[in-house]
Amino acid sequence: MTAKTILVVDDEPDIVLTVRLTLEVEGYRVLAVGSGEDALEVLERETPDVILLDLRLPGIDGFALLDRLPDEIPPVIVLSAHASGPTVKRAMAMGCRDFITKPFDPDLLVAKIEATLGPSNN
Amino acid sequence: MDTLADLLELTLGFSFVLLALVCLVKARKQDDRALPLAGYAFLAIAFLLLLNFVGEPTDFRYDVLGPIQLLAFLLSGYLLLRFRHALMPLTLGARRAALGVVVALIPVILLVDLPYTATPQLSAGQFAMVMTVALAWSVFVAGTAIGFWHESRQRPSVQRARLRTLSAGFTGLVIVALTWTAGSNVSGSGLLIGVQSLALAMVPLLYVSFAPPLWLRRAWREREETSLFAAQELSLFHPDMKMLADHAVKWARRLVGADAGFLISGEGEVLAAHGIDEADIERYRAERSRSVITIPLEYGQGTGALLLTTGPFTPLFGSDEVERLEAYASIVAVALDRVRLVMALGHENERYERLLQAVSDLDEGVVVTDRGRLIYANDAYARMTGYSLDELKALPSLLELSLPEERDALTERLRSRLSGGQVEDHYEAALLHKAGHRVDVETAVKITQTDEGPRIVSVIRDVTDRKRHERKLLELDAIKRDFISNAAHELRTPLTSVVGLASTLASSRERLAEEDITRCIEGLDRGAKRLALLVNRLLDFTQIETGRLRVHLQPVPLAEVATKVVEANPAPDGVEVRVEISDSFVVWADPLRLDQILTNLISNAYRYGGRDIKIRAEGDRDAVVIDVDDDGPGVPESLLDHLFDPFVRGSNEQQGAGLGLAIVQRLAETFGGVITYHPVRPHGARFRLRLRQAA
Repeated sequence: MTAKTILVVDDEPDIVLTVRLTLEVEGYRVLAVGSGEDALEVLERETPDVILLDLRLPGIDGFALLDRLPDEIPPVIVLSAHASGPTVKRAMAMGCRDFITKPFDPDLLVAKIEATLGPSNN
Repeated sequence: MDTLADLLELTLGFSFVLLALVCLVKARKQDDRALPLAGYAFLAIAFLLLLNFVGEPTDFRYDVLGPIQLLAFLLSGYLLLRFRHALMPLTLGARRAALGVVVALIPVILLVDLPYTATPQLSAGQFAMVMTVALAWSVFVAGTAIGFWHESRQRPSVQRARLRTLSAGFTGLVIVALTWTAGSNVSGSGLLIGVQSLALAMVPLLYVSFAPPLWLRRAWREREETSLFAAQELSLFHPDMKMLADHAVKWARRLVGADAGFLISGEGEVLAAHGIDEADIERYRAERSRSVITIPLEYGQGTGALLLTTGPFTPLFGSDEVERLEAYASIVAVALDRVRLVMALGHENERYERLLQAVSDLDEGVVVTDRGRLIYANDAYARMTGYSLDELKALPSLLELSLPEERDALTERLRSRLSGGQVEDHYEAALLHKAGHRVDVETAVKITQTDEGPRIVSVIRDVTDRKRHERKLLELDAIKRDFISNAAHELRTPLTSVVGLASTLASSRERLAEEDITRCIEGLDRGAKRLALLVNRLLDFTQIETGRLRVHLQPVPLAEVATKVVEANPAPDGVEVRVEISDSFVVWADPLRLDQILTNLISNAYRYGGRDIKIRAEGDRDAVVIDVDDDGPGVPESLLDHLFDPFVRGSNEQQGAGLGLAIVQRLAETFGGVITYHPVRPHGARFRLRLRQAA
């Protein structure tokens, strides 16, 4: 069974490091990019199983990126410090699977990714 | 002795007795000191006339009665002169002269033998003596007549008529006396009878002048009445109470020829007085004198009185005069009542106006409208709207002053209120000031029914300042919320990595490669440092914003600080930084905070600028201008408006707190300085710090 691939879109290197270490320990393959533009580029050649998306990004931000993603995309989990009701609602309305507020518990991150992938894929 | 002549003489004698009695009785009734003198004079005349009828002529009588008659005659003249003196004082010289003549004539009369009757013929000496006495008498009495005539000219008509009647009576007496005496040597009864008839004709004249009958008094008054009616209409409608009372007293006094008069109000106040001073008024009020006539004045304020005093020239008051005065007084009372009511209304109006003015002074607008049209507005409302009262009254409806977007709702509200609907009495709205700006107002409204229909009374308060304050508070509140939310976000990021890395280390340390553990620890270190930096910046910022930051201003050598900052923050690879500041510049600053400002500006230049960074300073008159220039891309256009706001930062910024320039700006301000941003051509950024030069 090949390792599931997680694409992390976040401009904070230390957050990326945290996510990477947390998930690699759990056996995931982690791809990381620091901007929306880079994310689109990676998505042209890779098909990750889950996308972890920060909303506040340099250049095109998280919402703009969601708009520009192709129709057939992997489930998206938002990873944001902006946890206000309207933001969460908007993200969910745009098709995001889940919402994780920074700072987060690494176990919760893993649990949510597992839930998103479904029991069959586990 | 002619029978007719005797009869006339007898009648004449009794007539004078009657005249004397009238004078004496009237003098007693009126407390008059002048009248008795006239009375005694007339008694003396009556005595000498009636003496002719005492018994048969004898030698004794010839010797005694003749001189007695002549003495009585002389005395009567002197008494009439004294009567005049009592009314119109004579000079001391005149009085002495008159007395001298009398005293000189008495021995002459006694020495010259005089026949008892006019028959037989008088000797030349006797005639001369009698003529002398008659002339003296005539001078006395004529003087009196002339005196009365003269006095009459300056008296009101009733007194004038009476004085002239007196004067005419006395003149007649003089003519009779002179003619009688001159004709005493002429035989024949024709002349005597003529003279006696003339004398008799004088008696009624004198009688009416001393005790004028009703018809005569009315006739005398008639002219006064005519002019009184003409003047009454004007004077009785005079708006001022004092003036009205004044007119009333003046006319009442003239009407009956009173000497003086005054009017007392219901409260006992003397409203007007004529011909009398205050002391005399008090005296008259204190003692009931027979020479004062009191006419009660019944009017609203109680019972006042019109008082008139009789003088020597006043004809006797009869019930006719009293009735006339009472009728007049009732008119005066009505007029006084009217004035009092008008004054009371005036006071009431004045009170309301003062109250309304007080409201106006409190800047509370008061407006009364009739279906929107202005009936009354106070000054405060005019000030509030910028329109004059006339301009406001010219508006078809005050609703024209409301905001277009509120007009329909306010019109509906008014319609509903007028038709008796339940409408909120207090509401907030806005007015358009004449100058065009908006005035927020708070309005309290009540409807009131009047004879002319429903009126709407509104009290309007300008709450523009309060509203502005409220909006400002809301804005500040929003800024505060944004700040807290931004600060929380800034804290979350390093916190996330610290929490995540620490948790990974704790739970999966064995499963991590050695190099991952090192990266974890380095990440923890960075996160912790960034948290510390953020917290420090936030504290700095809040301290400055709340005014609690303490700065110690002192002269600071600029070049020294700048050099130190560059040494502590060396330029990254490939970037060159140059400090071009003359040693002579000394600025007012807190050295630590100036260090902080320059560190921030240089760090920003390293982070966002190009490869060439210059720090330069130039002296102004009393300021030093410090420029931190770089040749990078410059600040993006989109950030320019909010460059110095908190939590605004460049696109590739990850490490800062977003508070650097916000803090720099506020610190510069605490030094009395200012920081501005200027783009550099063709590209680059210039942050210009202007500080006060320390001499």
